[in-house]
Amino acid sequence: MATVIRSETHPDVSEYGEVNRDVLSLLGKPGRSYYILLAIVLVVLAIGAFAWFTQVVLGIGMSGLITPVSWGAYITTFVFWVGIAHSGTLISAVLFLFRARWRQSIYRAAEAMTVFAVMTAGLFPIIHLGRPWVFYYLLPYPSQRQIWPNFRSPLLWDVFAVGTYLTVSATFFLLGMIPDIAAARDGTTVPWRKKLYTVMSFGWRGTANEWRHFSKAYLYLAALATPLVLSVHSVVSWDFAMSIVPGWHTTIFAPYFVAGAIFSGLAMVITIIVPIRKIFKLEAYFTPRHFDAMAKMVLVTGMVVFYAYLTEFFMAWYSFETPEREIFVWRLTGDYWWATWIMLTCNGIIPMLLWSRKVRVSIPALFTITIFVNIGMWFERFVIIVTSLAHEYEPWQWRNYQPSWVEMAIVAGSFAWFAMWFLLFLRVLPAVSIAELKEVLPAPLRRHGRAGVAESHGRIGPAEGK
Amino acid sequence: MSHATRTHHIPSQRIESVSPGLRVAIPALIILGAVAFAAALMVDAPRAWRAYHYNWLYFTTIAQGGFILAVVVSIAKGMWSRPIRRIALGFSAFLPIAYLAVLPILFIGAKHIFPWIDHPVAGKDVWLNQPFMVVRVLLGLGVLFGISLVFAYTALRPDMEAMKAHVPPRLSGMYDWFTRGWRGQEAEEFHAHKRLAVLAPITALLFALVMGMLTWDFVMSLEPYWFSTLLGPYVFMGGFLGGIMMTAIIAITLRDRLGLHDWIVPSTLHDLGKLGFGFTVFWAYLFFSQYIVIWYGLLPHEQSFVIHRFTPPFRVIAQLVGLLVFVIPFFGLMGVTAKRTPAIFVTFASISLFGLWLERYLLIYPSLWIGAEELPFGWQEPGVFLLFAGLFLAAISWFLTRFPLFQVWQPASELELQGIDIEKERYATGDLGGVGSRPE
Repeated sequence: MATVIRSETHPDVSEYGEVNRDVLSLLGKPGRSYYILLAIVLVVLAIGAFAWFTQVVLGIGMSGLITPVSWGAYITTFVFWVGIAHSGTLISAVLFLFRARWRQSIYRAAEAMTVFAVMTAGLFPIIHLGRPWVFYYLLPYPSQRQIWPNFRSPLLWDVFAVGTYLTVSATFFLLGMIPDIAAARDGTTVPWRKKLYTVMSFGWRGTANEWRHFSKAYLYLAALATPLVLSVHSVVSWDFAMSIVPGWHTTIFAPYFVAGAIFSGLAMVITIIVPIRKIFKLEAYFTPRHFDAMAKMVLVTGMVVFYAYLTEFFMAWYSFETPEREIFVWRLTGDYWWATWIMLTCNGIIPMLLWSRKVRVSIPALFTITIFVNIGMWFERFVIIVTSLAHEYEPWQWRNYQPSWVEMAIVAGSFAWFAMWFLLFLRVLPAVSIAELKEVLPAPLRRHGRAGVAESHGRIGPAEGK
Repeated sequence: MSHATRTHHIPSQRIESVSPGLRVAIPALIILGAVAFAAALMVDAPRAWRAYHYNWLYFTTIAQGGFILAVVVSIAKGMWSRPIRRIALGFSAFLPIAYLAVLPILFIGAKHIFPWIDHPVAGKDVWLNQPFMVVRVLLGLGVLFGISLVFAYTALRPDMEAMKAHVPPRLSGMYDWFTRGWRGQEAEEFHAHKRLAVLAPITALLFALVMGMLTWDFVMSLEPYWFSTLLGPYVFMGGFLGGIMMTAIIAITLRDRLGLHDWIVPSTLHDLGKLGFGFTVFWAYLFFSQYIVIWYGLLPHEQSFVIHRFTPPFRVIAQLVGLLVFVIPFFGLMGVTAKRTPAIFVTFASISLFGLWLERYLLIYPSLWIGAEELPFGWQEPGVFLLFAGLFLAAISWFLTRFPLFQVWQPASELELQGIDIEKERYATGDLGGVGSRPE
């Protein structure tokens, strides 16, 4: 008797042809909701752009930054977006090396998110400048402009770290897409698409030799990209930890920031995939199993982050250093207590719900939790940056900071900027990997007689043939 | 195809007896070590206790870290790990010994080890006082070791019934105890799977919490004014690295001795090697993350800890540690051939373990010999090492000669547990490289 063989990860997709059809259908005519969404995003982006314009014309005083809090919402948002960028490389490189069998359908979207998140983050060091038109001084280009870069400055390391990360993740993104773009190229008749896909697919024909080189390149790139998952946010954390500001100078910062970055990045993947799945009817591709697996990773990294919070609080107490103790008590009970408690609740307590399997496979619940996580992670950076600066060693210096409308508009605008790229991406490039999905589907079977009745053979034995 | 046949013939074998060499070596090591420790106590009691303390820390972190490997692959459903999972589980046999062995540290040797007992630190004595430390260490380790043993029991139980008929009479009592209240193979596997799914994350969580706390007491408090938030993770991840390397050494030894070449295949070693390599890098990462913050901060109370280790007489040890735990295994285990060739893998794993032994020395000793002219390293340290090495080997041999060497029972797939019927056969073939994974 014939056995119906279904994929373990995608039980509702049975044929290769379906994958091409469903994924490439994303590139077709979108519904009205897509344009409405795009319009909203563009309006918010315009508001953000206007706010920045105001700041450029009228000066950095339009922000709420004030001595001693010279880093505020901008750097918070910068760190936030660099953090968001982590899940892409984690899913595409680390999980690839670990042969995790649930990454296939989500990794493309995660990689795209990575690239766009770094592009968003990269804006902030420039927005943060009083004179953004001289931004090129940020580039560590020795012996020019009478300035030698200070290689001992973590800010400089940051330029390297984020720059490398953008390069590698973009390469990874574009390289991994080649076979899929070739499929899109062969399926489209729209002239501009045909041209674009022809260029981006590098003449891919899918020969055995091409596949051999492709998989080798992908594997090596994955191995090279893996250390980047650790290094980028470590370097970002050292922007803070290198100084001796209480609350910043602590050794756990690097792994703690990395865990937090993966935590927020994966949460963002879930936040984004849930609506895409709904709008484009991709339920067969993003199954509860995928959400379950991602939710577990969110839980693990969330626990690491929570462990770091608790260690920091304990160590501040244990240190018996007055400034160290003072800042942690102040975070909990001082003027910014609400930010600290938002952080602790959203990152430490709410993710505990994910211990329950029911929650992990419930898509509305996950969607809600991940939004909380993202809020919490923004506030985590806010707490770290602002409370420590506002409350350093000398009490006469203490001064609180309040983000101005300009900053808030720019932060909102950054979300719109990110969303805009993502929405455009969905329409132009295949958002789910066609080629890799097929690896986890059962191979096409030879058909005998009527179509649809397949006989299993090869390494897959029929269920009853024990 | 070949995979399918293999899966059904996993040897439900148990090692009948310890090899004659080990049967002599284990008591010899223990006796020699005990004599060395006794002699050291007479010559220089503080020194003897400190040697005892750091050797205890070395073996306990490795045993618990190796055990966590079994827990982690169970959480991650790492099918590749089937051939070595039992070996990692075997480290649990050392945990009761570690628990007993910590008692002398807490009750007898403490005043020679913890400087704050004789010279209490004003204010900090709320935390750093002997009764509180005894309570939290015994409680913490009790909970962690306890849950580890429950985990080991749950993971072993489904395999015991089928083995019962094949064990000699002296073991049948133990097998009866393990299989009391037997509900049938299917039901047992189902329950074990369910229970492990709950126990595994809790065990991993407790590992981090308890080992982190233990590090504060057993390592950090030796310099009572020094503190570092990352030290806990650094120490227990070092234990995890040691556990991986130790698992590799045991797996390869058994493979050669017992001819398990069909089960512990090169790709198993390759995967284990990747983990070993990865966590070697991770160890260096944690070290560097901690070091650079301290180096850059230039705070006197933070730097002292590093200076005590990076200046003579301890400098040479620090250099060796960097070389043995990171540099050599990093380059050694980078390639595919090295990971898949047992002899090469064993060599680098041993180097790494030796380096970790020096690393644990470096964590403890410089705090207690501040300003020493000469390196306090003599016959005492290796001497006490022999004692613990003997106990460790005894525990592992005890475990491996009692329980089946491979996990025979199949963890049910998640879909099956949800009641979705997928081909059982097909899932089973995935165990030794099948569905979704690429053929090597």
